[in-house]
Amino acid sequence: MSIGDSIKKHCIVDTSLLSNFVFPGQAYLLQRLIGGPVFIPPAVLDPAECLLGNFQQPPRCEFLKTLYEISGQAGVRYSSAAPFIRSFAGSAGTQWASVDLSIEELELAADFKDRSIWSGISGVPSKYTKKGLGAGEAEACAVAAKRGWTLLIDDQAAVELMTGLGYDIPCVRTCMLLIHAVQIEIISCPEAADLFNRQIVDLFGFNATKNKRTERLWLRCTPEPKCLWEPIR
Amino acid sequence: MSLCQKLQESRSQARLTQQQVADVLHVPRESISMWEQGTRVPGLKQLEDLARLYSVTSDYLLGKTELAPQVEEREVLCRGLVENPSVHLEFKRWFDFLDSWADLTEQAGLPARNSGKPPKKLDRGADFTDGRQAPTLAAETRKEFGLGGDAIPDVYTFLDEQHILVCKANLGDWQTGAQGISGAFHNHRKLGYCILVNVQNSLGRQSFTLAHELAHALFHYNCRSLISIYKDPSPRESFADSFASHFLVPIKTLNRVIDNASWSGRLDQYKVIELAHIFRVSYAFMLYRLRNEKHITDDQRKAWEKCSPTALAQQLGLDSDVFNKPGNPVLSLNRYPASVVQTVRDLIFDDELSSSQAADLLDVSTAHIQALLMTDLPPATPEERRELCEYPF
Repeated sequence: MSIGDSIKKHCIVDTSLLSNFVFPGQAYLLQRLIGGPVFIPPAVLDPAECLLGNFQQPPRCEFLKTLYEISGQAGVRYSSAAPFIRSFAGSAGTQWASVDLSIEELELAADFKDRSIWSGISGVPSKYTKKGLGAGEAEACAVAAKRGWTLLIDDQAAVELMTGLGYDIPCVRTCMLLIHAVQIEIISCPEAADLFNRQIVDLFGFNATKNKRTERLWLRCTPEPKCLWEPIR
Repeated sequence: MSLCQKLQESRSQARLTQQQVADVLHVPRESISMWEQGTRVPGLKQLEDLARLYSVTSDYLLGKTELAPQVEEREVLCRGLVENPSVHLEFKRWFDFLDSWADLTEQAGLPARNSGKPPKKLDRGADFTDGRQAPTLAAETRKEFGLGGDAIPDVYTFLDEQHILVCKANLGDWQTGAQGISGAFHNHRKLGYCILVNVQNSLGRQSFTLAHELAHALFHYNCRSLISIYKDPSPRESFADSFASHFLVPIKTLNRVIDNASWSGRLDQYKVIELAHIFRVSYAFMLYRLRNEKHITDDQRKAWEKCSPTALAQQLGLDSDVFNKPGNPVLSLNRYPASVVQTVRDLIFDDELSSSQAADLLDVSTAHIQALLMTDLPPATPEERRELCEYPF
């Protein structure tokens, strides 16, 4: 299934991919790409915690935890993202929609978060199997698996798990989403390259490396817009 | 029984109101009500916290398993904390982190470097409480770890170097009516000695807690879990207090400092704050230490207790960080010792762990983990660069 077809379906997102668009102030780009609000599971962004809006205590959901950290010294590297996070969290209904989990989805998410889930799957590289999925990824995968939605996710462990368990779920990553944005001409390729290579990776630290940091993912514009793994010199 | 029935029944058995649970989980009370009525389902993180608060497991709430008895020593430790659900939850999260960390390090083939037993020379049996021996044992402990007689600059770093896993938590401010928990010791089956410290106390007070918990680790290692509660009169706690006093402020060093400064017989509040600053301990602790060594009288201690240590330090131009109560500090990666953070960073670099798995393990944002991985390191400020230029080599 093409990227365009995949994102015509309901899309559910994990923390990392959501952050890649929101932190540099590009939440609207994500909304334009998928043609409506992105669906978010409670472990990533919980409307109940947004309502309280007091981050003196650490929130449980992953996306708002960033705001709490920014209030201390720890968040100094990504403090410029704070206004964008607040603005996005306050735009429920337009830019994002919360997902109410069913009991079956909650049970499945609990399974995905447990390391023992890997024991029934063969052929998965051992590097992914030392821990279960994070809570946000586990919930997003459970919803996508039960409802047949598209997963917007960069976490390779989650992709390996879904494939290993035999789920036929479209998984779309940040770089491919940006390439699609270039192809449908809502952003130019140099803009997409700057957003991915400089802002998302260099500025906000998205981990775009593999093979023990010997290769890095780049969004390249020539000879054609493409996501390319290149050796790190 | 369905999830909603189990949630209601478990909360009832934990003797918590919906409002208490809502306050601890940082959600509106209506959410708890809807979860218990079955009109909504909690998220995964909330389910895990509910299980911790109710002393059950997520699998039990989901109907996957029967109610298994809790690990005994943890239940003993947590039973006394039910009155304060926030503290109870912090302890349960600590235990869960320790289990996850032990599991991960084992999976990654990292060696366990803390056996949960003291060095042979210090081993006085598993439950030693003779307070008269505490000064000698404190001196022997310093000798064993090569600490000499000087003040220990940073007890956190010292313990990390000894592979004792020290974590931090906000466990409430005892002066505002909480239960006065300064820390806890747990001898984990796989990780060995582990300590939890309440960071809502001053750094000087935290040093005392760390030394106190070290006493439990070395001399009460068969008691798998101990909580240090303010003014607990048990023999173990008294021994650990005495050990900590002599470990942090060896009598010979204290007397030498007082003699060198010609302060003998001339001590006052300012000199006490300077001593506390030298030894990186709290003002209150130093007052007791000086009283116990008869450098000051009990009447002086009582009178001098009324002074603000922070203000005294500031008036003398000393760094007052050691005396400040930090309120409710923001805890993220600083919850863990540097060795844990470095290990996680290495595991991610070696493709052994993903950023989101690491964030979940350490209960921090993915953004914070990613910041740790940046190849583009934080640039030096012009002032920082200027210092580098000052050196001729």
